[in-house]
Amino acid sequence: MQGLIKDLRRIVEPKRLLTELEDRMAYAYDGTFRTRVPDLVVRPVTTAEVSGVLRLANREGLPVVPRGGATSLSGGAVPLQGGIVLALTSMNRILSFNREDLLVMVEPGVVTAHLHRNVEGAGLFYPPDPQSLEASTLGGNIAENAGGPRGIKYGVTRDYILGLEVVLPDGEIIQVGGSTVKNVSGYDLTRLFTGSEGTLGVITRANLKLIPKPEARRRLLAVYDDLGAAGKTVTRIIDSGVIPSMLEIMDDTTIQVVESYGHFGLPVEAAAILILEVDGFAETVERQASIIADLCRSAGAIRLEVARNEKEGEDLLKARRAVSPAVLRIDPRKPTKISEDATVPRSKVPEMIVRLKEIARRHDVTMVVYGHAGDGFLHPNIITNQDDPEEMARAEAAIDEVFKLALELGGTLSGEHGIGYLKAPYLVNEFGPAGVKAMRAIKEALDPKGIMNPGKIFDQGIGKMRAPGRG
Amino acid sequence: MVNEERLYEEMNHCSRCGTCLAHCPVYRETLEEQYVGRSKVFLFRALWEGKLDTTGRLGQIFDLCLLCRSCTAACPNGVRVDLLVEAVRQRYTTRHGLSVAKRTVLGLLGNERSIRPALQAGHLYQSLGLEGILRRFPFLRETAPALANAVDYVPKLEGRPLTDQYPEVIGPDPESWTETRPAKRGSWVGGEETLIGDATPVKKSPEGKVRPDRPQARVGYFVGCGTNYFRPQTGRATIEVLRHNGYEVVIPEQSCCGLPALAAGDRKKAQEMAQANLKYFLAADVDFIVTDCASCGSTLKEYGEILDDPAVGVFTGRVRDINEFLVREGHRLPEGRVKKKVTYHDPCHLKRAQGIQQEPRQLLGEIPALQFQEMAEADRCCGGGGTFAVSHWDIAQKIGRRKVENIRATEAEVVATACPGCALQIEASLRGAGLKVEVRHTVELLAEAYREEKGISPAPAASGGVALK
Repeated sequence: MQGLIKDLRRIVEPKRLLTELEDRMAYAYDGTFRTRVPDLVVRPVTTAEVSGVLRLANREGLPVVPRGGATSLSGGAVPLQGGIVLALTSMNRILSFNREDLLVMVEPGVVTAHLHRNVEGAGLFYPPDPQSLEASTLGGNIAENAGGPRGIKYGVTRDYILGLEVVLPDGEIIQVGGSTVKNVSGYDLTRLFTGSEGTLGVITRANLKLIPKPEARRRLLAVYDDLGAAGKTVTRIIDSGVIPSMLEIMDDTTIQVVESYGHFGLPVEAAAILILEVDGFAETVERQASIIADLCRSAGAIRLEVARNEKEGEDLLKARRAVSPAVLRIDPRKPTKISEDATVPRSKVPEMIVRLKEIARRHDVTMVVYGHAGDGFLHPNIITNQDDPEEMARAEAAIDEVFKLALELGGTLSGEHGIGYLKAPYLVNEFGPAGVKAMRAIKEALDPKGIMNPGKIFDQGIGKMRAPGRG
Repeated sequence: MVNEERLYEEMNHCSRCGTCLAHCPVYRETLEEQYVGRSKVFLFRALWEGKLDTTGRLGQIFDLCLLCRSCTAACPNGVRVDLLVEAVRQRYTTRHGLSVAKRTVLGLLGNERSIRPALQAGHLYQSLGLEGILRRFPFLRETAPALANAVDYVPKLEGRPLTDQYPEVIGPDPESWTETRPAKRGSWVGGEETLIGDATPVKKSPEGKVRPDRPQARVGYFVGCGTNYFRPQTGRATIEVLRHNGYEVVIPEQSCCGLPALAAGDRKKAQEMAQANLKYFLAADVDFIVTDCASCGSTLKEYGEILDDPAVGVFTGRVRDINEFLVREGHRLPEGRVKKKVTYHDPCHLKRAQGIQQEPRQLLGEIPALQFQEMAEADRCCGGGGTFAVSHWDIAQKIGRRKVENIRATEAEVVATACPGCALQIEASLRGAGLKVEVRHTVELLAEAYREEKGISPAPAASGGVALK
């Protein structure tokens, strides 16, 4: 290790190499529950430094884990096998901003919300909006292919990545994709690296596509006394020709929890609420809002609120924003939250919700269901106690079934958190042994020594790692 | 009282979601995870579980915290990282003692006899223009950086603390006692009842004058070290404003609030100070304990976290920030004009620790001709953090620069705030950036408006303040 440290000092400034235990400890975690203190932390500022570090690590066969804001919820940033954590937060420049081409070039450490504010100030729009956008970085968003509420209309991170600069495990620097929307030259490695969870290389630069910022938006809140009616609204809206820019659902348990936490005036006897948003040119927003309002009513909404201005729109979102903190306060004896992001085709949302509730009943677990219903994305959250083995066993059984159900309905294990270490044991259920083998072949071709973020995506045979992440 | 159990609970409530990354002023400048709230909780756990001890870097990492509670305010679980930081500093101080710089500061604040000569020496030093020497010989800065930073930081000193400029009891302004009803000037706002017009409950004063009943409250003024030693002009304004509103001001013997000691990890010293203040102010038999320092105010209100005394609730129940006091208990609407463009900076210990945000803005808004312009990120920490600004000069200056830019954008001539600590830091940052904007406490502007209406234009001399009893 001493020799390696000496070599690393030749690559980065001494203050950018953290060797003390106390400093390294702060890079042992992300938003999940497993932790491991890395052997070294390097905070590079240039692509050349990243390349130098990878070359050395590859020579030594030492694991390298790229890390941005480390808000990840599947374990992407945890250095499970030690090695070097490559903290990219200081590579945080917006390198160029090209209005005519609707392009922005960024380094990986740029905070998502910071980019939002910058481009929106110029009347442009970078839609991906993961919940942690004030703290997460674009490099992490790309590596995890993050999504968010706007996904229903605007897609997810991958839909805005035109090109990347990537440092491969052997230190080679490659450019994938480019600066054009249309680009069919060779394999689409841009899409391969997007969502690769740091297992194939380190993203050091990205060309992002922008779109014009919608001129206006309008939010609506619809309350239902029947979960089925809410589900029906979701499918009807999608059928109506209006694509909302947000379509969030909260089930009865979530409503009660949120209401007892914050008193937002939600009817606690309600079975579900939908929070919707439409955007576009001012004239079309009015029309879209009225179409959606009619649809909600005809599908059986018992109450409908349409925000008249931005302020009222913000108020409507307050209840949704309170879900995460409120869920943690459900029961002081159950401090553990297991948050899943299983996703199904949009049309299956009503069935998914009903069957999730059956699963919760059958296994006697506290479950709240909320999420971006508009794109089939639900967050079944199980509230449990990690110190109670019996409870945890029931939670684990329920989660097994949640995954099974999502796959049965033609969905996926993970809509936006990634596989990480948390869902690695289940990957084979989604793609079968041959599917996983094909993925492994790609991994082995690009990273023959297996130094990049080991323990993620592919099951290491450690067993199922359900549980505690109290986030 | 904060005990092990409480700390354990705070530690367990962190889910490491990373929300604090967007709010910690230190992290936002350094971009180094070890300094952010969730890291401090994680390191605290390691210390708790015996995986770390206090021999290594831990002390330095925990030293880099402004105790601004920005993380707590944003945290979905409201984790009080500041309590964990204080606990670690306490353990560190117990094992290793205080640093020389902190020992000096705490020694001065805790001891009236040593701070007076220091203040005089500082005043003399400044009057002789000796600061120039330090600037001329950069090697001096290199050999004693903390001293050099402190010199840059300290404002013009008066040489005499505020408490030396006033008697212990100061009666209300005779002008505020009116013979006719309604009150001669300014209608009364705030408080539970309107005190003007025929419904005004009245009482004869000793001189036979009639004065409104309500403002006879006996207000204990907690001066605070920042106001007392560095910004006595704030204290004079506080006394003036209270008197103008007919309050009786009492300045009992008092100690430092204890926050600098607590922040440095000297809990025992903080407890001694708190105990002393409890004794002095309860003996003074005051209706309210008012302070113009946000940090002192939050510390006094939270004495229950460090003291186990049964009387602590009585004490803390009487504590008010001056802005809060004037708005809630009532004050006269100022009629004098202060024709200035003013912006306002929220002190962390006022907004986040005490939940006071509207009151100072209301007071500013009531001043005729004052043009108020909200700044961006008004509630973002200025980077002062007590001794933090001196011991971590570079980071504090970086944080301060952001505040300066937000102030600059408002084009205000005055930045108002409600804490002498913030005032010192913002002044230093403005000086560093060469931006000519005045820093005033909200009560200073209010006092100016009251003076203006009475036709007294210049501020009263340092020796001002008349004993009426």
